[in-house]
Amino acid sequence: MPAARDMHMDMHNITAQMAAELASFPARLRDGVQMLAGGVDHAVATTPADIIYREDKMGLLHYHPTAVPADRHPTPVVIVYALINRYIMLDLEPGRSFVQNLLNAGLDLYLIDWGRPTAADRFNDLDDYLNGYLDTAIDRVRAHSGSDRVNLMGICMGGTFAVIYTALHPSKVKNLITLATPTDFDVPDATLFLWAKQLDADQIVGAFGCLPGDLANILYLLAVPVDTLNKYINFLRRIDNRKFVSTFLRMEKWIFDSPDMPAAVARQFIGDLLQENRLIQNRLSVGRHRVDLGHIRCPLLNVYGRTDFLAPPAACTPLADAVGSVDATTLGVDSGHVGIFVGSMSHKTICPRIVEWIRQR
Amino acid sequence: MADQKSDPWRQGIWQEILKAFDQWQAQLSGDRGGEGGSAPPESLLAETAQHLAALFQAAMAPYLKIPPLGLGREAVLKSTAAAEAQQRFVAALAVFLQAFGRPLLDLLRDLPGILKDQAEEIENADDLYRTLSEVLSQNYQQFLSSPEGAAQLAQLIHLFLEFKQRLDASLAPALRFFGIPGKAEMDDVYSGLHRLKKRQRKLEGTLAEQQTHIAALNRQIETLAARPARARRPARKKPAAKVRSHGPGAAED
Repeated sequence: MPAARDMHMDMHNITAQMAAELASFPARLRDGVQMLAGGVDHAVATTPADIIYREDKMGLLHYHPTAVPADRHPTPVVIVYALINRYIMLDLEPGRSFVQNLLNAGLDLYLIDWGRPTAADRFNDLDDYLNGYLDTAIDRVRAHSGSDRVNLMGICMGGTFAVIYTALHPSKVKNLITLATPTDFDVPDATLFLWAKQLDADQIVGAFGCLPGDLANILYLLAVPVDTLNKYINFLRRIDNRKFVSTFLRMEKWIFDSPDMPAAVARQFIGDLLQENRLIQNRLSVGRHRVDLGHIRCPLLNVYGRTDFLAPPAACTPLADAVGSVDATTLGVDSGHVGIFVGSMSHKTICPRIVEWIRQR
Repeated sequence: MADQKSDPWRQGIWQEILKAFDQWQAQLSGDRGGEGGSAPPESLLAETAQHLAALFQAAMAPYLKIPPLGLGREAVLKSTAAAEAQQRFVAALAVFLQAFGRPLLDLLRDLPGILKDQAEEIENADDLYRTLSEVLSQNYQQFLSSPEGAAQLAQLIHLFLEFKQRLDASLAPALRFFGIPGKAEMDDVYSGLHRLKKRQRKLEGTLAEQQTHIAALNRQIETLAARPARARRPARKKPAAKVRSHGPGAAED
């Protein structure tokens, strides 16, 4: 316990620092606003790609390779992203792009852009997404690349899709890579899962037709109210820093660019997975097929963030034991949900390990 | 039906609202009608929320129960149901906001103790802010992941959705009157589209299988065509041996 004199000095310093911060704030705010008014680059998803197939709202992207042909890996990688957010987080900005890191490492990269479903898509269910759109897209990749099988990389809810797809179509997947992917939804300390268990999925989709992206966003923000507030306080403190503001705006674009989720698939995802936890128990049915995780026998790399509150470690790690693969690697990294894809750790540690794992198989 | 004394419309709804704000202001300034001292913030929030919820109930509920008459009966019933649902939602919102403020009030209550306990780690304003943020985060995490917090949120969402559904239903007669398709009509269209897409996908799958089969047959034909003519000459047929059939499914020539 410091002496009273020290305490007094600390409080003096603190007060002086706060006063200085407040005094400098108007000038910083003015500079920041002028900078924003003058235009700040916040373009996202700028890595060149061709859309090689389109069906309804879904588009299949093929990224232009950046590695020399001799360094390219022969098996294509297909990225499956979540329905509830857009893939732009994987290609946030040059130098902070997960997609570019994979391309530069010599991977032949395809990505499924689910697009923006509308009320017209509200009857699309898991069967349509997995045995329909995803299966067709993977067949197109196989034909386009000339490879009989693909490396399937699923991210977040897209990872859950990739797991289900691999169990249903094991012959088309050479390796399965899941990143920040929840598969067990009965876990403690998962606030969003706890909330989801109390929601009436039928009522939500009945009221809106689709699960509104904004409703999902409100729940995300509400789950971490202090972090949400601090984010904007930090923004105001650094509003005169062009590079920071540029990245912040890009991230904001990703966070609040949330498509609506079609009613039928939302009902299944909330009801069958989040509430009844059927996937990990091999009780999930998609179309006329039961999903047996034991049918997944290909090599599995399962990456999770140790501080991820959206897909908590306890929700991700049981996958390795549930699949039938002999070669199953679970990799925990010191990051949250987004840190796996954006930031220096992603660039320096996580991406190289994923690439190395793929190249070894 | 509300009696005359409790009917806020008779008393003047604005008077009631102003009274609520007066109370609020008085509590903020610490004047509680001679009681002395400021009210605890939790009590302030609770009283304000409860007062507003009661105000809504008293002002609207009795009038929404008046039975509708005549041609527009259905529309009036649906509008009334929407208004009732809106009241329930507003009341639940007040309760949730009151509960949502509690973690912050807990932080304020614990602040002296936190500053005392963590004095050594707090060297500047950033440290102070970080410490308070962490405590507040924990408070919120505790509340939001508690069964009560989750139930309150679920109830709020449920009542909001109920309000929205009833509001949509109240709009349906008007849309129908103007010949504009409503949710039910569009659902018919969308489900029809979905069925067609499913059928198309199935047909495309069958077509692809047939094409694969045709390609395989064509390859066989090409292989046969490429053989020398003598090799292609069919062998002289031997008389077929009789096969005795012993039941269904047995092969017979």
